[in-house]
Amino acid sequence: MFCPHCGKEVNEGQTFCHHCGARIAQLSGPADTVRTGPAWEDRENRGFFRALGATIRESLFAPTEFFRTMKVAGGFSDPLLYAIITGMTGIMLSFFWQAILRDQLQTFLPQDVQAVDTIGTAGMAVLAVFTPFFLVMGLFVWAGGLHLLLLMVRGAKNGFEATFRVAAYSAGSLLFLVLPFCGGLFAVISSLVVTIIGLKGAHGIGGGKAAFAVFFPLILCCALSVLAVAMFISAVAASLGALSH
Amino acid sequence: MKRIPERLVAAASSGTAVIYGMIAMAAIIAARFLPVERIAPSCAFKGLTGLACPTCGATRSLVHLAEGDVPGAVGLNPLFSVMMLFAVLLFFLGVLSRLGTVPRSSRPQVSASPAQLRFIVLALFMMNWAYLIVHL
Repeated sequence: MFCPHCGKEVNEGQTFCHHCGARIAQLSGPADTVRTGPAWEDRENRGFFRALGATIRESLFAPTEFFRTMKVAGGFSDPLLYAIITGMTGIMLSFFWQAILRDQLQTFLPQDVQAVDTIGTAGMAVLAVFTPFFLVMGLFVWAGGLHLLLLMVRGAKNGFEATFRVAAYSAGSLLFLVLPFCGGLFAVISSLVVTIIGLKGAHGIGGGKAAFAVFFPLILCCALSVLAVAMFISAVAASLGALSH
Repeated sequence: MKRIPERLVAAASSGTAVIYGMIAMAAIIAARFLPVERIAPSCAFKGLTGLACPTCGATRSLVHLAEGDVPGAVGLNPLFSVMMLFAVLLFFLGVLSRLGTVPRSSRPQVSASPAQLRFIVLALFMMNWAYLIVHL
């Protein structure tokens, strides 16, 4: 078997890794899994941009393998930095699109939906300044909720750090926000799918438990999700209606 | 002065407890200075069913906490209010333990079994929801 922290081989049944000292007895997963990834945590050897690119590509387009080989321990700072870089890139570009396209989009929206837009460009700039803080806080709250729900269904086979790492590396999905109009929808769907696959891989659990942990908070936050979906559908319907005339 | 329970200090000594405490503090400060009640959407679950959802009253409870009205906050969403206050307490204890004012502790934070903990969490959640359905 291999140490999930440093990836080096250790003897079967060993409680602590004799290479890095990490506790391995409580960490579970397929015995033959070598947890050496992600590339982002090897950026000193690979180079910053190559490691970032490889991590984005693998986490979004080959998530099963990515999370199966992801280290489930090793610190919060690397995954947090990755989430901030990818998340901020996506969110800032979505603000850019909103600032550019808002006036055009407003003409397609019904009157009552137009009234919701009270933030304005200056407000958006203020929001942009606070976004990194919201992102970090949101990540911890989301990971905390996911881990609590995993604990409730006996799905937290590894520690909180494993869940946090899944949440952080799933933040690459926010890069879909660079797409105007439909980027938000892609980002939400990708984030949910990648998180479920990530929890399966990181904790070595079934898809049902992982899906429960991901979807239960969404059901709890019914007001927000229903409002978001309703606004999206009304915006698309209004846009299609206007285009068809 | 009474001694602070060691289990509480042990919980506060963990880095993640301090982070969650900071988040709770930030939320309370935001509720003090921002019109969060106007920004927060109304509950669709309650709108559709007439029953409070498990998070109903949380925003108003946060505003009451920000104004120092703890009984008012607890009355609106007891579980949420107590969790926020507990997180703030852990934050201050965590900071004090890092400054050396309160000795750090690595004693196990809970003695209950995972099954008991799961039952306690579920029971608290359901009791809180029942309270919200009756009172909100």
